[in-house]
Amino acid sequence: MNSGDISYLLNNYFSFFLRGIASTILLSLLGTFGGLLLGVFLAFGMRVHIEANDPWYHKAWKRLIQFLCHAYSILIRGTPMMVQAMIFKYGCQAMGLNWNAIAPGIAVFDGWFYAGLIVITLNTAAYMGEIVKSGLNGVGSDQTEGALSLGMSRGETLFLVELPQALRNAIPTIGNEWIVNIKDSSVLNVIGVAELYFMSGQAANKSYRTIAAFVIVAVIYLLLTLITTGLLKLVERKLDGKPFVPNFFHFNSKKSQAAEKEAA
Amino acid sequence: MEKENPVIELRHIAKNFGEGDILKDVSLSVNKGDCLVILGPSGSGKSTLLRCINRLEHPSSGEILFHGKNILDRRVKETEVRQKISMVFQSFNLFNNMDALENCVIGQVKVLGRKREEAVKIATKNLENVGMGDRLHYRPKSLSGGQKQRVAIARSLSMTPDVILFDEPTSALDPEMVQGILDLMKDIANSGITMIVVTHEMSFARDVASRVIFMDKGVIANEGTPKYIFEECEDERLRRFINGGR
Repeated sequence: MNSGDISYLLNNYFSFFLRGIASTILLSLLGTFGGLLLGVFLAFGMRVHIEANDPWYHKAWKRLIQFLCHAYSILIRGTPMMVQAMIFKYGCQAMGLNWNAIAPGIAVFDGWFYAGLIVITLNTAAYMGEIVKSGLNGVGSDQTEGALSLGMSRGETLFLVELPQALRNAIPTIGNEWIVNIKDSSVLNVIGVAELYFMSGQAANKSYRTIAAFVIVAVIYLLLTLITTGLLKLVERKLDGKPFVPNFFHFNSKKSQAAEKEAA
Repeated sequence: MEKENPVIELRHIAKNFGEGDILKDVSLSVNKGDCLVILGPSGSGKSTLLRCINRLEHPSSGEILFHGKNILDRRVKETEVRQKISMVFQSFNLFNNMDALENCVIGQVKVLGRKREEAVKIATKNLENVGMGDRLHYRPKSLSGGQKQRVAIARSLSMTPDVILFDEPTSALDPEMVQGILDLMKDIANSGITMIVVTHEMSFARDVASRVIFMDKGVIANEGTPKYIFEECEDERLRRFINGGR
């Protein structure tokens, strides 16, 4: 490999990388936040409140929900996403469902993209369920009792008091899950999702410049994760009410220190 | 005075967690405007009794009548009971994700269905009355213990409850904060709100209570006027508690 290979690839196959980037960003973003939404409900399911004086039939369906949610979480987190993707794709095919026929789409956003999106969302949901669950467990019982003592229902307590605090505390972990998804969405190439890894593989094959292609793609992944990390830092600072000073490398500059002091 | 119906009446309340009996056959009644103070050593069941009254705990047996209606009945909604019987906790239990004002507003809007402007007006007035008018938009984490308890009291008052339960409201405070909260509670008692107070503050029991209950090992060991409890009663266990107590 020499620098000529890299510039050759960038000159002739730039659109491959660009389409791959678009696909990967969308997969990771939609997968993460779709997964978070499902994960919230999964967490609710895992900690359904069984009252001591519930009649037996209420206890029975609550236990069933708890069992199903836990089973889902264990099953998904205990198997690789690559395997889940294969089972999903060929399972759909065996049932006569062809994703390219259902959702033809355009360019990289073809049927396999939608199939991959479903896989990554369902996979992320299991991890998010655990994150939200431990976030909710971390909200003290004093908060719950304070809300109940005002006459709030269990649902109001959950949505107004417990969940906002749990999500706030979980933001770093949720953000981390997004970064993991940017990288791990690459395994979806096994079912033909045209994400960044898949597209650079195509560029490598067509140009016969394999090493250069994958070096480029490594740099792109690194840039994507760095930018995401920076964005998450900004969101956290915003939520903590700290001033909006871009500070990507976490050096405490004199400027940011002064601004922080002023805000406090 | 006796002819009036009690606001709260407990009949033969018992509570056991697994093996141990926390409460054994406790009966008492509280009239409108009363300030009932419950004293007793740790583990005597005072807090559990209080938590049973607004159903944070469920008694194993017995009846709790609120305006003559048994609130332990399955058909009575606990949310409806709790909006009329408010509680102030030892550890404040303010919502960490809201500022002082919102802490006092949210219950009014979501539970009582008040309009937001009206709720804000009531909350602001109550926060001013407890001396927190200049801290409306502070979150609990930037308030001191005494300030948090003031906000918590304002939150309770904002719900315009019939009864306020105080569960050791000064036990988690710095000594110099205690008197301020006690003075505030005295004002509330004088304003005619029915109160049940679990506390270790003897001075409050002596000066403010209309009646004092001394609990020991899950039963009411003695009860009477503050004068009776602090001066006349001969019971040795009580004398030891009061003289040796905090």
